[in-house]
Amino acid sequence: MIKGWAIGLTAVAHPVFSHFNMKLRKQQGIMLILPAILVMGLFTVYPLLEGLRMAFTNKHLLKEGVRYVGLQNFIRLLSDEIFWVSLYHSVLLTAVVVFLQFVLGLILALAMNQKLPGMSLFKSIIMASWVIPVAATVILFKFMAQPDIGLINIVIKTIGFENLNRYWLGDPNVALPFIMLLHLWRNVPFYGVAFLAAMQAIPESYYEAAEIDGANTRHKFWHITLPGIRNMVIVMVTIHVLWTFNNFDFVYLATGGGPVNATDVLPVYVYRQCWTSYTIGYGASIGTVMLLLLMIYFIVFIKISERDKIA
Amino acid sequence: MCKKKWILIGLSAVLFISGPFGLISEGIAKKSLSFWNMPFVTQEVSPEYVIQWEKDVQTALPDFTVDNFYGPGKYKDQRDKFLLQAKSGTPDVIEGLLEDTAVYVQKGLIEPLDSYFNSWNEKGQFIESTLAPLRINGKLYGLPYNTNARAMVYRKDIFEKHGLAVPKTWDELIQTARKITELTSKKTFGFYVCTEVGGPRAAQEFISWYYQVSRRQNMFEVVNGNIKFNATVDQLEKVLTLYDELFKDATFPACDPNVRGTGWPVEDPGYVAGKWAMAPMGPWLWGRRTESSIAKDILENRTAITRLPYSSDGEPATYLEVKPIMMNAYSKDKAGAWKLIQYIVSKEKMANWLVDSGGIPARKDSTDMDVFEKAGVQWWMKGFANELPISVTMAPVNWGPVSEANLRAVNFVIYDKKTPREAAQWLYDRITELKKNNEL
Repeated sequence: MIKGWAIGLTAVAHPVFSHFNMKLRKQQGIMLILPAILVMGLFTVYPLLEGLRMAFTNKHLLKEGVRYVGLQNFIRLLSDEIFWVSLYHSVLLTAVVVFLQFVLGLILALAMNQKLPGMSLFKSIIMASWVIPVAATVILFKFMAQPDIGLINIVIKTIGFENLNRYWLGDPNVALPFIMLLHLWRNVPFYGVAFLAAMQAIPESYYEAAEIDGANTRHKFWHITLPGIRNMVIVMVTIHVLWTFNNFDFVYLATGGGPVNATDVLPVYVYRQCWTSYTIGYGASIGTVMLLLLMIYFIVFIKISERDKIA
Repeated sequence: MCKKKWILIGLSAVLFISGPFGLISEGIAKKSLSFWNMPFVTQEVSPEYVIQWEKDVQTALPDFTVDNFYGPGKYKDQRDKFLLQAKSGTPDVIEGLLEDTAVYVQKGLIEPLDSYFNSWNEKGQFIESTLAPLRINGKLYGLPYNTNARAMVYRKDIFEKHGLAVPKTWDELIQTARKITELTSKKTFGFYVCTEVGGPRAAQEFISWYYQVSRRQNMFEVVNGNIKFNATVDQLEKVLTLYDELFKDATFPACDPNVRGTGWPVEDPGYVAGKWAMAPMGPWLWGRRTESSIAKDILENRTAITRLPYSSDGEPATYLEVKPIMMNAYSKDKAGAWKLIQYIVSKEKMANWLVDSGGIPARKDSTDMDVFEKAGVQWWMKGFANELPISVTMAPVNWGPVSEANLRAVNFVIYDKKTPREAAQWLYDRITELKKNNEL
């Protein structure tokens, strides 16, 4: 009865009343999003602005007095050999890992999309790598990489390559690929499950129509499956570029950036600047560069995605 | 209504019991103190000793409750967290490295103890050489509970079995270590040295070799707040050449190439498991004899202690470690914190702690106690105490970035990325830059 009365009132509302009603609704909306804005402002915007501000200072955790130094920190970056090595590793790690995760995740999703016995159990088991904490994953792999007693070396020795027995994370040529392997081990199942969900949302009738038109498996994949999961691909790639480029824990726990500089990446370098040298200002300038690089990536990526969508 | 009445009666009874006689009254009457102490977390001290210590502290400080969370368990994490949270007043008391003391003083986080210490009737028991490194800008910033000088532990059974002489110089060390690696078919490598970037032990071992080539001159001198950098490229090159030779890709290298870039978590367990025949070491290793029967046998029956081999064109020298107990300048109960410090560095507590973990007490009366003799640890303590006259303490600067640079240079060399000369020049330039940027 009340509902009917309210509908009636709205239907015959005077323009002034309608204006008041809209204003009220707008205020209600603002009130509803205010907590989220406050939380984001406090925990995202403020630290971000503070980080940007510090990048232009000589802030040192142990020294009193902070002064603005203009672009001095950024000029110092240009001649910082370790910064460039770390940047190279960060870009390489992100590009290789995200590409391989995409390809392997796609293969996994296609495999899981087949109607085979035990598939639901398999789907549950493979997500274990995603559930296990990163620290536990790293410890597991570090143990497997140990000389003599690690699983990798036991297998290598068993098949007759005893001369390859070594601490794999201590080899400068292997350490970075090994870190990539850790990323893949953790994230490929996640990609697989996400792509599978997107594949299962594609109407079966598309495939049936394609079959009637004489499309083979390859055609169906290129013209139905891949466009069908396009939005999921964009989401997954976007998220993982961000996660991988900013990833700290895998490298820090596995190698700390070593051996020599073989696995140095920007997040670990920022941490070392802030917590070994205590040069917060310089560390913030590296963080600012990371922010700029990711922003450029996102702008370009989103523009390309939107252009493709329109096309 | 009846139900509500019973709930009210129940609540009143609980409050009555836990109020005047129970938990609440105890919580109000007792003040809480916190103590961050890495050796209690890492089993450098046995868990049995920690349990006993906790019981004893309740008796010794009946008005206080000492929290049994002893901090993060790694010196680096402990330092980082203390830098961030000291102003909250927790922990009240902190154990640490001498290098930490300089950092905390720069930040104004620890309390000078002069006024407390000078009015303590036991102050005369502390050995002056252990107090001296804790005096920064004329103020005493901690009380020492433990001191040691680095020496070299070696497997006397292996040396006796193969008729080998204990090395005295670097050249002899390299040759002997390679020989042992060969004689044991790599089951036991001749030597171990820490090379972990960021590891405190690796930094301390590096500086021991440096003191030898610099003829005990400190790498830095602090005069009226100004820091002078004393090292030369030639000196640094000599130290880096030693690391190069130790890991050189010989058929039978002195050090295991698989443990390049590792630190004390590999060094100590490796020695007591029989993986290396010689290692630079401090007395804490004694605490590991309870790990296994092999560890006990190696430490009690098969190990001897000698001076660190030294550079032929330098002189014998080693790193002096003094472990301080410090008071948080922001502690909410400084009087209570001082009582806790007095308890930690008391005659009996210092002696019992060091009997358990191995170590040289910083008090004369602790050293004289018969507990060391009863525990059969005197020979062990003496082995390290012999090195005190040639030991050098570290200058009070921010060693973090310097130690990182030192070990980075070491890693360049042991992974064949730079020659010792190139790495030495890189290191010299890096430390000069740190000094120029006022980061020390």
